[in-house]
Amino acid sequence: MFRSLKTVAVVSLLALWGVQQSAQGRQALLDVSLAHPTLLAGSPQTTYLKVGLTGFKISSTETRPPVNLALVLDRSGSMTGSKLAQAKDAAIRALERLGSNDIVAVIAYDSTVQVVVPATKLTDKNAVRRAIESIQAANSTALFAGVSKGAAEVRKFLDRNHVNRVILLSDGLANVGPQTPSALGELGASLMKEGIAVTTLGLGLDYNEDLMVQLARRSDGNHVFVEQATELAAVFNHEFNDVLSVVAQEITIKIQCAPGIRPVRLLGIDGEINGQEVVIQLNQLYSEQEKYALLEVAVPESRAMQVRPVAKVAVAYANIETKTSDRLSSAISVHFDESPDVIAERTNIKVMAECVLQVANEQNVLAVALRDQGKTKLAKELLESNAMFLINNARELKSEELKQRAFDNTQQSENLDPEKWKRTRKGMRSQQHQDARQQQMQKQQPPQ
Amino acid sequence: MARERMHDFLLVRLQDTAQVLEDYFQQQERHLQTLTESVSLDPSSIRQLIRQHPHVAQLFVLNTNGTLLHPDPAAGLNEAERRFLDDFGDLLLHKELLRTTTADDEGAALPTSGWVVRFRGPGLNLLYCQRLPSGQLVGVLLQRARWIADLIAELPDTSDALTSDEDRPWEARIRLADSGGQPVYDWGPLEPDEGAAPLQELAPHYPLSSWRLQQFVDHEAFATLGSGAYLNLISILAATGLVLLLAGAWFYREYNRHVRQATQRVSFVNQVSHELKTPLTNIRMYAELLESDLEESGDDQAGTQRSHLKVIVEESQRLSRLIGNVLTFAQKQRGQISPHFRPAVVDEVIASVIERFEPAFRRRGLEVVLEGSAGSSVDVDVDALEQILGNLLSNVEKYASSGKCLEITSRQENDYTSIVISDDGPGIPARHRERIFRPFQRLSNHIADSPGTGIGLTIARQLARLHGGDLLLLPAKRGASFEIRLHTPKRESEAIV
Repeated sequence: MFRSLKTVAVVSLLALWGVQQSAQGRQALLDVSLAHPTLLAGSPQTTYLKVGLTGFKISSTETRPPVNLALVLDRSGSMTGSKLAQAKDAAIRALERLGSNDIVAVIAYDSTVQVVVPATKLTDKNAVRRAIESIQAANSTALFAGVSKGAAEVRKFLDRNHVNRVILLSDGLANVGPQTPSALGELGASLMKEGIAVTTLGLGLDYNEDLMVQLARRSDGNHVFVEQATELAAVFNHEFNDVLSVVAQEITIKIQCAPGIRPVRLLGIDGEINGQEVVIQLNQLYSEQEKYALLEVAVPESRAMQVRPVAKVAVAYANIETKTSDRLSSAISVHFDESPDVIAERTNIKVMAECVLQVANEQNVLAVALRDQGKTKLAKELLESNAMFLINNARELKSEELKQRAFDNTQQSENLDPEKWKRTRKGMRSQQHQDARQQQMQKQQPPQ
Repeated sequence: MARERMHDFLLVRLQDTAQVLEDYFQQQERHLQTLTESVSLDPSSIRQLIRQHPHVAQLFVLNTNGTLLHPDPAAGLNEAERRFLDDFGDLLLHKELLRTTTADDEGAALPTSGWVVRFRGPGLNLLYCQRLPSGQLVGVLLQRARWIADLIAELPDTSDALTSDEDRPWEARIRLADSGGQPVYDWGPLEPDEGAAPLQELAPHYPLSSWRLQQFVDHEAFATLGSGAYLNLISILAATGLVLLLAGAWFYREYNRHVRQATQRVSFVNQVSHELKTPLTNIRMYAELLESDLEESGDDQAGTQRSHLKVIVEESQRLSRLIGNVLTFAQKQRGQISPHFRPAVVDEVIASVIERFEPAFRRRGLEVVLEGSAGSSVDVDVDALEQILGNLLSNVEKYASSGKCLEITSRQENDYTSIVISDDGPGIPARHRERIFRPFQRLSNHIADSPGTGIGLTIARQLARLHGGDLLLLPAKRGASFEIRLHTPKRESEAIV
């Protein structure tokens, strides 16, 4: 009796030790693969190189990194009434999930900006709640200034071991100060260099989706189209799930292409191509989520059975759990064969499906541009052919996601009329952003 | 009169704002100078720097002969570099660039630096150029959205203090407008009418000189400011033409001016104090953060750091006290103040206030002797008592530090507590005995030796009176001696024991 008890105790101790060991050495998972690991011999061709990075699972035993957050709320006239009330309510409820080690600032803007709560440790939640409740609607919208002040508050406690983020909620256009999508994009890009991401929540049908998407995209933040204010509570909740499940930050991916291999372009995620070197930066990686970059590469003509190096990949990031700077590296080569069957058989269907998603996404962007120019018929045709392209590939690559997108494109092609366009366009823009940056906001709360 | 004074006041505010902008660019300039002097000029280092530096949009290097070293089209450009050359390529070939960045023609060989301003795309773009000792020229294109965001972060917001409903003629809207006259950033509670003309306008310093700072006011409120009473008076004077009345008017005007000035000062200080509270909260929060960091670190240097921290905490307490005074004073003016009684031991409150001043007194070689006989629990407004004591002790620190000893005695009789604070400093001349309790009166006019707002004693007395007591200056042979009397009813339970 005693003996068996002891054994149990030893086993459970070992189990505990095992957990701690794995917690110490936990790193993001690097996946470097090719859409076509084997290419047809005898002719130059292009294929896609995938660099995927998956965040390790955040465990329940450890303390999460502090959140350093600025909440920027639009309180212009259009927000009057239930919209502002719901927004305030959702914000207050979401803040309940933060603790006294987290830092929060609240900014409200109309034609001017009011720092309602300067960046403060959340030791007095009631004071913050009262401040949010006191926000009243006013007139026009100085969105750029609101974000500038929000970022300045986050900057007061900027720390690479914090999750530094601005959450912007707006239902309108920016009409005071810089107001072009590119100006907001530039600001986003600059904030990303500091490790600050901006999540943009567009409420209703009157916000400027190009501007909101640019800001989120260039800062590697989330963007969500929130049609009804009643959805805000859920959206805030998902956003906070994300914020609380960051496992790595300041991620740099460097792809060094081998001699003879030419990097052509990146699909989806933005990056910099300097000759043979490609550099991609991400602001953060979430628990158990994969972010990937797809690089189209031109491969020169090669003989059958030849093995040709394609690229070396080096990844550096700040591990938020161990507070260390981690480095990962990998390399990949391509094989050549004369038989098209062999090539088809060896195709990596997961990578292919991701490439199809990104290519179809580019077509979707093009469709918006056509519709913007008033070429509704062309836009409709493009969306329809895009849906066909997606459905064919969905079958071949066994991808549910592609099937869903085929359905989405069909829906969009039927909603291009002037009275529906405003709504369709917002849906398309947010979908495009989410696909390009593989935004999948966490539906599950991370363990505490 | 009032209108002119207000005009001046507003203009000073606008000039102060221009100074904020100038300071920012000077700071950027210093920063960029270090950056351009220390950057390695190989493409991969330059690209790395651009990727990491939030303010740098692009960086270029020109050889001594004016040819482009980076970004080099022959060596392959990335997209951002290509766009940069499309937008600014002509600038790089321009002789003006070199002229702008050369302080004088003779000194062309010396490393010189400066801002270059270019209008491209959405408007004004700023480049900082620096000639290296090697003769090469390094230029940085600043990220336009970023420096605008930084300026906005540096400038005030429309804070609570400015939105209260009090009628204040200097309530305004200040606007930073770009070269095209479009607002970039607005602040202040006033909502000007569309197309309203600014009352004042000024151009910030180079490199932002094509932009404008504008101040809008409520023209109606501003117009009524003038000198209505004064004009009336003049018409009466003209009718009677009596010299005596003239003299009377003169006194009247002087008196009025004083009253107006004092009210303006109070409201202004009140407004400023509200604005001071935010940075102060930040300072204290940082200090607290630092404290907790030090506790965690446990390293050897922590001792010195902790003592430095103590200074920060001490100074922020002092600032808290000053701001508390100003706000109390303003509340009193509006009749918004009432004491909050709770049970406490007066001697304990005194001891805690002395403890706060202890380091400052020790530095000045001042010994504190406390003879406390107010040890029972009574009903007292602790905050008010702390404020009164704080003001008196801070006066001792400021004016009586030549003395050696500070005596504090306390006693309780019936429902009253009396605290006497005596120092052996220079004392207060008899003719000033009542004046010291009036606002903005300071006996010394040497600003250096008497920092402060001049309302400390006013507030102390007001608080004591609100507390059913008084603050009195006692006759003393040497030094100054103040008595605080407070109505402090005993606690029911204590009375039985």
